[in-house]
Amino acid sequence: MPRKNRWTIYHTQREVSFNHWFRQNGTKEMVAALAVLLLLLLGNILVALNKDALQNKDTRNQPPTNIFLQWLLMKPSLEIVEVTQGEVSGIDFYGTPGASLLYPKAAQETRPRPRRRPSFTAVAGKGYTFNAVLKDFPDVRYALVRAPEGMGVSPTGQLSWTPKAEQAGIYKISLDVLPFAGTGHRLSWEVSVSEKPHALGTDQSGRDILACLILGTQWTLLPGLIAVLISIPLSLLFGGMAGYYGGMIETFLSHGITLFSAMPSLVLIFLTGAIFNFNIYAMMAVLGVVLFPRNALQIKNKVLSLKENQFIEAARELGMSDRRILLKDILWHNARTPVLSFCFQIMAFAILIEVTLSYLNLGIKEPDVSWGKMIFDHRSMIQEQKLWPLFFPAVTIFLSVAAFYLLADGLNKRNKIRGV
Amino acid sequence: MDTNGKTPILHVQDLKTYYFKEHELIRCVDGISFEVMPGGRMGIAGESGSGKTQTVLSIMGLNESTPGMISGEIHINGNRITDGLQNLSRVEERDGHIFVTKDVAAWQRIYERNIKPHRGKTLSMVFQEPRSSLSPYFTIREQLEETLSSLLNGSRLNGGFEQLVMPLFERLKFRNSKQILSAYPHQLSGGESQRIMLALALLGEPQLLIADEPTTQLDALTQFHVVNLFDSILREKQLSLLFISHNLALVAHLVDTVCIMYRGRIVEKGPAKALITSGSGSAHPYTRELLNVFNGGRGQNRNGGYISNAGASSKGCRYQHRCDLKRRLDPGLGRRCENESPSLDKISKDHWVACWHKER
Amino acid sequence: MEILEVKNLQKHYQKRTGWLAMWLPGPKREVEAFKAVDGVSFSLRKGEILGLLGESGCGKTTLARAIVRLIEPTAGITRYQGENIYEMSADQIKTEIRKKIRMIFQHPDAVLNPAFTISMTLDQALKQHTGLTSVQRSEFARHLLERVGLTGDFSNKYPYELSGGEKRRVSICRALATDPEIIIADEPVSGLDVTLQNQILRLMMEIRQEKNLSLIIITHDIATVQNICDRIAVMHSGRFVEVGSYFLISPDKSVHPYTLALTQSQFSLEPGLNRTPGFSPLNESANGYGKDQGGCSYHAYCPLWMQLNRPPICREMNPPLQQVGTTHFSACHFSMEIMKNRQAG
Repeated sequence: MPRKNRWTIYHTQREVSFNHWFRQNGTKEMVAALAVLLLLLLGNILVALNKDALQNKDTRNQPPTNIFLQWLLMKPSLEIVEVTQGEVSGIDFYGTPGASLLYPKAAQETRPRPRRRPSFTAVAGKGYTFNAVLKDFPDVRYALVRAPEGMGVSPTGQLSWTPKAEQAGIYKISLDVLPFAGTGHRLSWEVSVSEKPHALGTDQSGRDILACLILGTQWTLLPGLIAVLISIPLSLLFGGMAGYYGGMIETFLSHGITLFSAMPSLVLIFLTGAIFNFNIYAMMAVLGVVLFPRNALQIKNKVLSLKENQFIEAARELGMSDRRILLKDILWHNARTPVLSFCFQIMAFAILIEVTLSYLNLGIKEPDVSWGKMIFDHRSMIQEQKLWPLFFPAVTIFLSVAAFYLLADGLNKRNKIRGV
Repeated sequence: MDTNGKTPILHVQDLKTYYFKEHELIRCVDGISFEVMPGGRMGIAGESGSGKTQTVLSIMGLNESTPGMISGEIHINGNRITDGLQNLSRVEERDGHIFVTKDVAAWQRIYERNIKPHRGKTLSMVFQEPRSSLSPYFTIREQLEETLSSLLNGSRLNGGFEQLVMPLFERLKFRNSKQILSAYPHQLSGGESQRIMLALALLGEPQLLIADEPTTQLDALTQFHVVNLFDSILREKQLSLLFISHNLALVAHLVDTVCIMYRGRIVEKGPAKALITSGSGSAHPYTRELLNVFNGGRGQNRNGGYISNAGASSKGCRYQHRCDLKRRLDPGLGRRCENESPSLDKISKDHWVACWHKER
Repeated sequence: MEILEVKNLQKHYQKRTGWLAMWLPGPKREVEAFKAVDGVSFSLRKGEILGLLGESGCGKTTLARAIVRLIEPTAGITRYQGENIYEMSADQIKTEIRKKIRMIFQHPDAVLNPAFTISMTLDQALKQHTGLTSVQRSEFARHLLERVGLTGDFSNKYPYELSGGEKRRVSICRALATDPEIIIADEPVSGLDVTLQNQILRLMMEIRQEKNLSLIIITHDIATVQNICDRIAVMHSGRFVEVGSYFLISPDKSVHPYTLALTQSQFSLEPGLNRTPGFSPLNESANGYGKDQGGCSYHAYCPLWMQLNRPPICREMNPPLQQVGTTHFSACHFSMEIMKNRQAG
């Protein structure tokens, strides 16, 4: 008997139709891409129902509260880690502004080393305990100089605090290390308290990053639609007419297609921006004009190959007008897939253009937010080694561009179009 | 297998080819047996849908449907082509459903290995549509060279083209040989392309030429000339012929023995002249129906049946729905047609018929 | 009553030569005009079936297209019910001619749009020319399909799912959808096997009976036209070479060597039936090949020319269509001789 896995079994019963659909070429890519896009779009609906999550000016620059995302903080200075039991000891004076001044040069060998790192964020309603312990300096005493209401410190250095809901905001805490007081050994840091935990943190103006991401989809994706809406009719017009009517029309339109395909996209967009005061819609319209030639060429080739078929002659024999033949017989069925896949490619490219423009501060402006704008706002964060406001928009840009290209690719594979 | 002490060039026994179409099993070839003796000519006649093309495609290993050929013994000059294929496929019937199990890849591999030495060299084939059988990108000369070099196993032709091909070419009676050689297939007419196909088939000096409706697409005059050309070349080179057509008169003109096929089975087999030209020689109602159409001319036939491919209904004679004879019989006799499928019985020395009520 | 009258229809294709002439506008240099249709005249009565016999390349498809005005002829007149089609306005053509004169094309698989289901194809025809609502249209389409024998759920099938015979029936449906008066069928049954040919031809005859249509059947196979047509015209290289009633197409009545060659090239069940002794067709007669030197277009392949030792008149003068009987016309210099020889014995 041959090996089991090489047998092919056929029977007269009905095939499982889902299996058959799923096994078709290109379906997996399309499903994956659609899932990603659907998530992005659904979030918009959720946030729209919960608008006040966007603005929370009291909690600026708050890193993510999620413990799994805290590795994104490359070198945070202090943190108050939520503890329920046990203790955290150690203060790292380094990283705190002015910390180096606290130590005379001679004492550098004996400076304390941290074992845990404190954070800047706290959420209202939770209790926090912080033990400040100076290693090798067991006999120090601490005193709070400046602290939010409700925070107390024991002489041995245990800070404890439960922020109340009304206490949302940013507070400075200053802790004096008594034997060294007066010599500038004052420890100061900021704590921002938020009413609700921000899953992805907040940016420098206090907006919740997750909310920014979700609402930013609107401004990143919608201008791309303008490019698509401009590009489709142009490509159908140029390509369809060039393919169907031969002769002079075809010559002129083909040269027109070549002309447009020679135009540099970004330069034209900048020029348009300069003329129209960097209105994103105008720039996207120009992007549509710049990108249509490739699709027009494909449509023209398709029409040319179908034009010689006898069913076109049969349609003419029936008395149908040229325009109807072109639209219904040829384009409606045959141009749908290439045009649709091309739309997705334009959308992907439009997202990238928008990010480029916003990074140069020529795209979306305040108070609107888009992913590119988020990157622009936090472009200096790399130096400060706080990556989270850059990381999340970059991830979403990557995912959405990849999703659109995957959709286009999956569509092509599914309908067996080669070489787009 | 050896009748009169001679080995048949082609011996086919119980060939079965099925394929699936939209959840239905079509038994396009369902147990065909015949043999072609050296120097003999066999014709297969039947309507479209009777499985004649699939028979020869299965024999040549060119059948690409799934599952395709599932059983049968094929011997070419005594060599068993179906060697090693016994355990690779199986047909079962359970609860009214048919389950076909076949290792498609292994079958294809083994069959290909077995038939490769014979294809082109012992058997060669001329197809139905000449235009689509020639590659449109190469000139005729290039295609002839390619076939020739593949027959000589890729060795280079050093002037061999002129010696090997030109005599054959002259024989085909083209109007303008030089022009034809450098032309592309789309520039040729139907008759010319079909002659090129014949040349390609004859390059390997086969012993058996299989012709699958070679003249159906041609005009009447061209058909006449091409058929005469076939006849004369075959006679000159003493080749055997397996000719497939739906034109009974043409088949009678060319071949010695004819098999009439209907929906995958042979319903009558016998000497062509006796069966066809003198109409009383045929014993199966289907043959008579075909002959009636021919004799009565088109447009005036009484019988107007359609071949309905109800694939899985395997009970009873397959021709019963169209059978004129059954209509005229008593219901008692007719019941046998409905319940049992007739087998091919010998009624005289060379004549086999598959009908329970053979008229004689 | 003459419903269609064609007078001296000509369609010449002109070839421009020289690579410069391709690029520059200007008068076309007529170096070689390929005469696809070269002076064809006939008339069709209402309810009559005319069979047009000719091999591939003789111009019969071009003739059919010119009659329907899918291509514009170089010269000639086609009168439909008295009016010249080539002088009608585009609007009139669209509403009248496209509805009343329909064509069934040669290759049905090429004619049916593979992207459309059958119901969509028929719907296209019905929507263009009838004012029925969508429900009425689908009902009518189903009625048409039943009329041609396609019972069952054919409306939602795509052309690739149908067999050759079924596709031909669909093209017949498509032609019938607009209730025409003349149908021009271009090779309606070529490539099908005999029983199918039978069915389709019988169907066409029944429909003709029902609706009193006039049919022009264009084919290359004599057997197709033998029992159906009222009149037969044989065409070669763009001209009619013999025109007459249906019984003329038999070896003992026809007087043109080309027709005789056609009849004798048929394979029949009784060998020797169609053979006139001593008369065998030479090579296939190539339509339109070779330069037109003003003589008979068939003479190079004509067995009679060979038999009569190549008389020069065949090479110099193109024989006109002469009357040799009451309704029998033939274009050969030696038709009368053939007739006399036959009567003599």
